[in-house]
Amino acid sequence: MRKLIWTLVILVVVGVFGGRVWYLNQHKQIGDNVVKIGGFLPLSGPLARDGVEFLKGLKIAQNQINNDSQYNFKIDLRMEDSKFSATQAVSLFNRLVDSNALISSGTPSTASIAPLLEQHKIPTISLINAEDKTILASSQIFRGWIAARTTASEIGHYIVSEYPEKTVALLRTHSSTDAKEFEEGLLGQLNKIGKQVQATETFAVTDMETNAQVLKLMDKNPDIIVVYGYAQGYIAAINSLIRMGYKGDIITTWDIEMNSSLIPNNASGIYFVTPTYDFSELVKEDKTTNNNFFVAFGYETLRLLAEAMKNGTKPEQIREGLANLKDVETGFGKVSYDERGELYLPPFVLKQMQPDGTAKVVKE
Amino acid sequence: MTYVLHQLIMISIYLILVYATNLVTGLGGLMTMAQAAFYGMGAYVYALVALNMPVGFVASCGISLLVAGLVAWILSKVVLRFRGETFVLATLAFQMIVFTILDNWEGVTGGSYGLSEIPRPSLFGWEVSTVPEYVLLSVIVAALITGVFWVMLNSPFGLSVRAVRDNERAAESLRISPQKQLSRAFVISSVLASLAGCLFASYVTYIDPTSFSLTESIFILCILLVGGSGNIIGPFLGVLFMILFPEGLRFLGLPDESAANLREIVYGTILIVLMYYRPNGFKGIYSVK
Repeated sequence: MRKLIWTLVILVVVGVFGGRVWYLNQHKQIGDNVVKIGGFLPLSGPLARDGVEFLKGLKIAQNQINNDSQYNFKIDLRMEDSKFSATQAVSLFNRLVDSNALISSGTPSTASIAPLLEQHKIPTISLINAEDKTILASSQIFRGWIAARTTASEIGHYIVSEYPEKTVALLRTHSSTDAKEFEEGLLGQLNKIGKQVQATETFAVTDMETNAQVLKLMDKNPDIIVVYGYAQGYIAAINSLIRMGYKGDIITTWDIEMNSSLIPNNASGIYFVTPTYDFSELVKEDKTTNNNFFVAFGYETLRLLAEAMKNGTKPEQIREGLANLKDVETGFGKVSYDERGELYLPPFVLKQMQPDGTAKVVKE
Repeated sequence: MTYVLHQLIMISIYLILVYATNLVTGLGGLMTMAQAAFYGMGAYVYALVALNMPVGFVASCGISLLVAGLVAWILSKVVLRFRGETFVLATLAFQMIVFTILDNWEGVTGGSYGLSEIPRPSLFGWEVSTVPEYVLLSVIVAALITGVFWVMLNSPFGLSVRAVRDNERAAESLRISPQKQLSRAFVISSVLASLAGCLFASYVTYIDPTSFSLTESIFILCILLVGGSGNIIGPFLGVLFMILFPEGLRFLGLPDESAANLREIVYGTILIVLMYYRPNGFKGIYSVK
């Protein structure tokens, strides 16, 4: 037994030190004027798929930037696995504290390091953070891409302008701040014409089926059911609506396009609001990235950071650079940041899923 | 350097948690799944008191420990009627209830967003604001708890809990009340877990329910099983291994896209091998029933 333990210990020590030497060599090859961009993504666990796709996009952008002569720096990307956990994020922050800028993903990770970001003044783009509260938690946090309130506003606006007479119910994830903000955003639009949400039912992101909630909503006979959520609970909610034979309109978020293969008949007939993205630049680099927003989010995030670093790569200069980014051309169209870290995207479009899994623009 | 210091803080916090679990599981022979619930309760009560009442670190911790102790005492009246798998299920149910409350009672716990801007400790004029200062505080507390556990281990109380574990009927014949001794162990264990929660909340300054899920309870139990239960050195070895080993794997230089999952596989495999060859852990007296 002792032999085994000692063999294990020796293997671990050799592995760790060997790995370290290899890691240092890899990073030395990048050369001078290196900007360290650290970050933590969910690379294992239930949200690993998203994290791995983000990473793919980040690496494509890193290669492009490091080979582009218009940038006078090289990016050293150091991404770690956050496991979507607050404790892990704090631990990783202490490893990545010498970074010029950070990239994070998800509420627990980003919110937990907010005080540390404020203390160490490291600008951070939160890759996918649907809620406002996290963005406002530190002056160093900048929104990456989609806000729940904005998405809900777009849906509400569409309902108000196209179907003011129709009744609306809401099916959303429970006990999450972004879902609450989504509901507020939707109500904000509906209230403009004195409209209310007829009924609201909730589900957990880990739910495997939501038939009971769907049947309760269907009892109220709404003309439209708006669905908000993510992960398996979201797919279960859409599947329940179809399986329980709901005949009205379903309007949801861009997540449906990413998950349509998991829904009967490719989610045909379901409406969704979405930003539009020109994937041609990404497809040039990697043919598998078509219609994958997560890769696009990673890719555009690093490009925005590189844009912000043109006038200086110190953390305070990067923060200043991000806050001053206006009308930057991206695959999403022209985007801008404001001083609070809020991102402004071009208006979303309304699309409808088709039986072949594609989506058709219904309203621009 | 900050990273190493951070690991020292986490080692101290987990050491307290594992000694707490060792009382019920190692000495008492009851596998509890509710440690993360008390850990979370400690963190949340501390955070709520510190955020809403300017009573200081010691008083906030005190209130937190009292609440955890009281809840544990009430809970012990129910769960200690059971033994073996039924006890595991009863504590598991409590863990789920606490997690659901933390995740859903938005007005108080902040729901899934959690609580932020939790004040850092201030002890008799000493502002614990930097990582090295926090290392000092957490190491002192962990050392104190180790000392308390060491005293308890061979005290009449510790011996009677072990007697209950080994043979409840024989212990009863010696006028040891199994219910009373196990209840005491359960309450002390919960109070210690709550203390770890106070340290965690005041260090991280942000808490959310994901840090106190069932997975965390299983992780704490794993540390104890890997290190070895029923003594003082086992938990220490377990904490060192389970905290530092996964961190060490980060330096393996695996490809980024698959590194996280490969690390989990390596980690899991080594745990299985260890449990196969050392079912009692590195330095365990008992194997868990």
